[in-house]
Amino acid sequence: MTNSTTTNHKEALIAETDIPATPKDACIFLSDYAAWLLGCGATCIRIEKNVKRMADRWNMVSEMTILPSHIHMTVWNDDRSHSYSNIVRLHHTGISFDINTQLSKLSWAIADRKIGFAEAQRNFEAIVQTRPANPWMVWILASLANMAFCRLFGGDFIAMAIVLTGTLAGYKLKQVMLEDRQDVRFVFFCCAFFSSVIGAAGYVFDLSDTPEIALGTSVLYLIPGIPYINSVSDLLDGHYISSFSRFMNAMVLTACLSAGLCGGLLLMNIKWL
Amino acid sequence: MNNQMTIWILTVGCLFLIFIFRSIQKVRKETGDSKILEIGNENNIYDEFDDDES
Repeated sequence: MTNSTTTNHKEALIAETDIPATPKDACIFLSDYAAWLLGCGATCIRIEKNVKRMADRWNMVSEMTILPSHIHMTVWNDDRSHSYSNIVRLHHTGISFDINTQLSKLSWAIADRKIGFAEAQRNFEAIVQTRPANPWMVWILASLANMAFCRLFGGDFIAMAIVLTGTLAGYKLKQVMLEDRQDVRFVFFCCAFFSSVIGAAGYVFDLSDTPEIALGTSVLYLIPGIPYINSVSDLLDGHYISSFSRFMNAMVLTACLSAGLCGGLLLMNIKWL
Repeated sequence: MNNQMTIWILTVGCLFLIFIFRSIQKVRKETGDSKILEIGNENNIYDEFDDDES
């Protein structure tokens, strides 16, 4: 009992006193932290709040510019006698809510004085090593979700089965092509093309009462929803460069998706007007 | 079977061929060079044994 109490006191003391020795140490950590958060799909306001929270805990002042591919960070000590600036390129990890949440929890743990700077660095290194979700699970769940979309829009059960098949094939193709490091725009085009061709089975084989719903929803899994939502969030918070960049990125992907869908419709000779 | 059905079957068949080809590629990468590649290869190890016998 006494030993555990003593250990707890020691840990609390370390958490209280272990802060970055210089603005340089804090800046390197915070800029890398912000770059990872930006790379895994966090909004600018979340990045700003998390970084400020940690900087305030360490009695430092942080100023940050969030650009589409870079974080430009400056950290001052409390009396503004020293500063350090760092530019870090964002890490292209793919959107990960898991890493996003863990990094936010880390900022709270620092702000609540539960962990010191050294432990924060170790935790950060462990968090960024988090493995992505099981690709098989994502494949199955994304296909089921798209099938549910078909039902939501009024598709019958045969249309749902067509959409499920189209999404299983299209999503698997997406995973295969992204593994081969193909350009993401080309990936979206190909996946939309094949999904729309499979989605047209209702017309080709006269299978469903709602073939148009199956065709329309067969490509919904490719819509870049998170970049659009983050773009609006950044717009509301005044981060116009980031907002515009995310919006343009999402628009380009949507255009590629649309081109693939049109290609599928043209090939199957389906009149959409 | 009309044109539309034929095109659909060919397109979907092409997609599955891509998957099959990819699976074969993955299996070959994981298991190393296949012995089938050694047939017809002029510099295979069995040539050394032939030289010794003569």
